[in-house]
Amino acid sequence: MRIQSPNILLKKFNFWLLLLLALTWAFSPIFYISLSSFKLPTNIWNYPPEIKGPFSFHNYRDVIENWPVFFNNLKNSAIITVGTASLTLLLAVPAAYAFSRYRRKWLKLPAFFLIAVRLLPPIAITIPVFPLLNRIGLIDKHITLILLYSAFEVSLCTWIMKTFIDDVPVALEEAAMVDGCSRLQAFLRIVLPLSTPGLVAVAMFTTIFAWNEYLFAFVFTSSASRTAPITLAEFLGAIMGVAWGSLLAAATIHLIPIVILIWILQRFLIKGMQVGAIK
Amino acid sequence: MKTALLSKTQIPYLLIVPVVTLLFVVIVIPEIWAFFLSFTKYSPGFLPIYIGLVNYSKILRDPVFLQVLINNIIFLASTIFFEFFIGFGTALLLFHGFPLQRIWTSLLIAPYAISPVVACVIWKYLLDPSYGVVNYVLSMPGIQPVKWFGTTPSSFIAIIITNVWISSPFIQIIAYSALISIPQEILEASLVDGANAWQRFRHIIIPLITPALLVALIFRLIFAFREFGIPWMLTQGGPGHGTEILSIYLYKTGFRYFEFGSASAVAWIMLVLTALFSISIVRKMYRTIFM
Repeated sequence: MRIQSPNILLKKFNFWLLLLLALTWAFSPIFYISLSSFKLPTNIWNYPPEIKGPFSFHNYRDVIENWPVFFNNLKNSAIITVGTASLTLLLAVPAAYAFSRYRRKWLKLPAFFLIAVRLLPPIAITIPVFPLLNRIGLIDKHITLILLYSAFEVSLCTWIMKTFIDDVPVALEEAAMVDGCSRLQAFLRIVLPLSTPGLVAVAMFTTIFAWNEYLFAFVFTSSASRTAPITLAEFLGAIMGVAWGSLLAAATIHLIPIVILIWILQRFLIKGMQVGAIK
Repeated sequence: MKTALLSKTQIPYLLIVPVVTLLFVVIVIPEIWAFFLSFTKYSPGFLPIYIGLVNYSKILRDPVFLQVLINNIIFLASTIFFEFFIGFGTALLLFHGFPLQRIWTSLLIAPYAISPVVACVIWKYLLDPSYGVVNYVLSMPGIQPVKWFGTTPSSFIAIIITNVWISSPFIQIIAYSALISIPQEILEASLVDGANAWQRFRHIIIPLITPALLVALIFRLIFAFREFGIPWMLTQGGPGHGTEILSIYLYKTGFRYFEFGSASAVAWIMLVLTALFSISIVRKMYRTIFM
């Protein structure tokens, strides 16, 4: 090991200290409630607070026994999340291809439209839409949330996809078409595989959004298609007293899949955000 | 040569139509409908009755609305400031570079993956006035336990802490991406010219990443302006109207007092205010992406 001057060692130490501070700020809350979810309910509020107590699955058993509705909600969340990701991809990818590969004057209008629409506040449509959906019986249905979520995600996802498709050289497609492929085949066999990181980024953004969303789920569902965040919120605000043990366990169950997803696929998320804001 | 199924001119049209249709049906038409509703008195179960500008004048003269507007601005300014402070600071830290960088990055962006509901569960747990970790840590240097959700200022701070916690990874990622896209040659040339770290920072790094940070700033302004979930779940706008922000005001007007006409008016006021922030970014995005 190289011998380093005390000055440099001190600087290194400072940087590591700052990193530790940042990590504590960002991650220790998540770590702490996950850990606490494995404590006995009586130990959750031990004072002085302790990092770990006697290990127990008690809270998780409580959730399974006393809150079976939560698992139904998780199922709804899953259905809506997959539906949103699929619909968004289905709409965004063709549109992105069109914006990327075609230079028509009239495309400027939908392009502007796509960007401008993103900036409208979602809460503003809850008022007009609610009575209408009530009339046609679409309150508390999965498809309602899928359509709403896709509408608010599709704009960002379209231009993320467009940037990824831009990076696929047109020459490759043209070469394929010269060899006898139709435009559709060239798209499926060349553009799509090469822009897979974009597809992953889009899927990630929509998944995170749909799995975690609160406002629309709050307004537009009641029991049949209720998603997990709403039930969690309800238990958090329970007037008869919050069942903290079960709540921590349920919250941990809810956050684990997405946190793991982000860990594995972080570079797609980062690339997607880069593209959305920098390019 | 195979004959195409569709004529060449039709293809881009057909590719765009689905997206535009969805956006039109789900967003544009309701917004227009809300505009018309804002000039009516409309409660569920009754038909809308035209009343002109009454909703708007009532809202603009409502003292609660003024307080709500001020709360919104305070919330907006505070949360953005701290998000940038923490987000940009963390990005600089990562830019400095550490071994096992990917692990640290994953941990640092984890809050972004959390639902606002779970974030509220976390922070309600940490900020418990009697047994929470935060008050415990504060008690060590001898600070009295803070009644986190008991008073307006402390509730505000609690909301801001939670919101900053969940949102600063966004700034962090964008700032970090901007930092790593600074051409190496410029930084190296500055070293050759004898610049120290602070000069490098002020004269090279800051100017080069400012455009990206500006975009991030405007995005966050727009999103923080309409925030609903976290303040609602933590305080419902209380105590009183102390932490009530525009989105909560809208929700209560519509879904508590069932004044859909007034609520639509609030929605359009929000829309106009958001549009004021957004004009510059809409134009910039349009130019960079589609030209």
